Amino acid sequence: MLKLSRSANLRLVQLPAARLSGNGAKLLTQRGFFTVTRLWQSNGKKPLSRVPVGGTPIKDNGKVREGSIEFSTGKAIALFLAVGGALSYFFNREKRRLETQKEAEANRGYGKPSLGGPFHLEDMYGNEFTEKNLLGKFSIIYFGFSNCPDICPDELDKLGLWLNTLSSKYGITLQPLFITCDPARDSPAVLKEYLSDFHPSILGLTGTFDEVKNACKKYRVYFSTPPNVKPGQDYLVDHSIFFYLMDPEGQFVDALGRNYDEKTGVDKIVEHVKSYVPAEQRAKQKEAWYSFLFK
Amino acid sequence: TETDKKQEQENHAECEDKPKPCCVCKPEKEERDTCILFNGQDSEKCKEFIEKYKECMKGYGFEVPSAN
Repeated sequence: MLKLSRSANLRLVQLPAARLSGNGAKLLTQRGFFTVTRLWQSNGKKPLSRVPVGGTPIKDNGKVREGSIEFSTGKAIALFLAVGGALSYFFNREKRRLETQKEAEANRGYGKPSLGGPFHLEDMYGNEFTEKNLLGKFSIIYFGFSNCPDICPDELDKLGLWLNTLSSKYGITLQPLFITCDPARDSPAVLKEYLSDFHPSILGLTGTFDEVKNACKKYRVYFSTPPNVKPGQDYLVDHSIFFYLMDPEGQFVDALGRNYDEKTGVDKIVEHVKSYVPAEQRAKQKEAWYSFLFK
Repeated sequence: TETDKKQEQENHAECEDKPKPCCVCKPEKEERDTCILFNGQDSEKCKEFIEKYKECMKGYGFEVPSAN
């Protein structure tokens, strides 16, 4: 660069000098050279800095050509557009994919609401039942009570309809669980008798006051059953208004409230069962290295 | 099944005559339970809904015990 500019400067100076003839020619040439050299030395940086990379360095008038796009600039724009377009397409697509995945994770209990966890109960046949019994199959849990004056059979009837449609139409078998919130009155025998009026696969669970209280807390069911009730004492018991759908890992998936009727409830459950990805598969498609970009 | 139907009708009639605790204040209960589902029973956010449901039930002569 330095060499190029210097020789250009020299040529510029020599051109007018060569046209001259006679005595003064030599002197003028020397003076001219001297002047230009001095000028070039005093503000030598200017012509250098104005030469664009790959561009035409200097024209006859000594100025840098301006105003038109250089060839290299055109290439740079094309490259910029191609790379930028490809990256933006790729990241947009990945963002969408990761968002869907994250949503599924969030509903699986890593986000809100976080429910479930260890509990210890007894089923209506006298067998131990813990959170480990949820593993390996989808479960649907309902919290209620059997006490006669306040039977709300609508919900359990609805559950029976869901279970029938799910198995006959979609081949999906759930493990339906009925956890009592009223252990003082709902012994295994009472539960067995009460549930015989509903779908035969519903398994009744009960336990001590503290065990039931713990289970209700874990599933965020309002628990207000009074402890140490006297025999014959009347009291109100709360029941959940939700059916809790749990996946085969025992993780909470969804809570289905009153707004799900016999049809929409089935649709929702089918949707969840079909979109379920087993843990090993989820681990494989774990976070991509660039996922930090979307956080 | 006929006797079942009769019983059901009787139950319904009874429900209308003298409301059962489970048949009243359903919107209030739903609001309360949804709040508890997302925040937990001990959350400050849900106190308002818990009280609303209690008051509503009192209007029908039912006493909802406090949570324990």
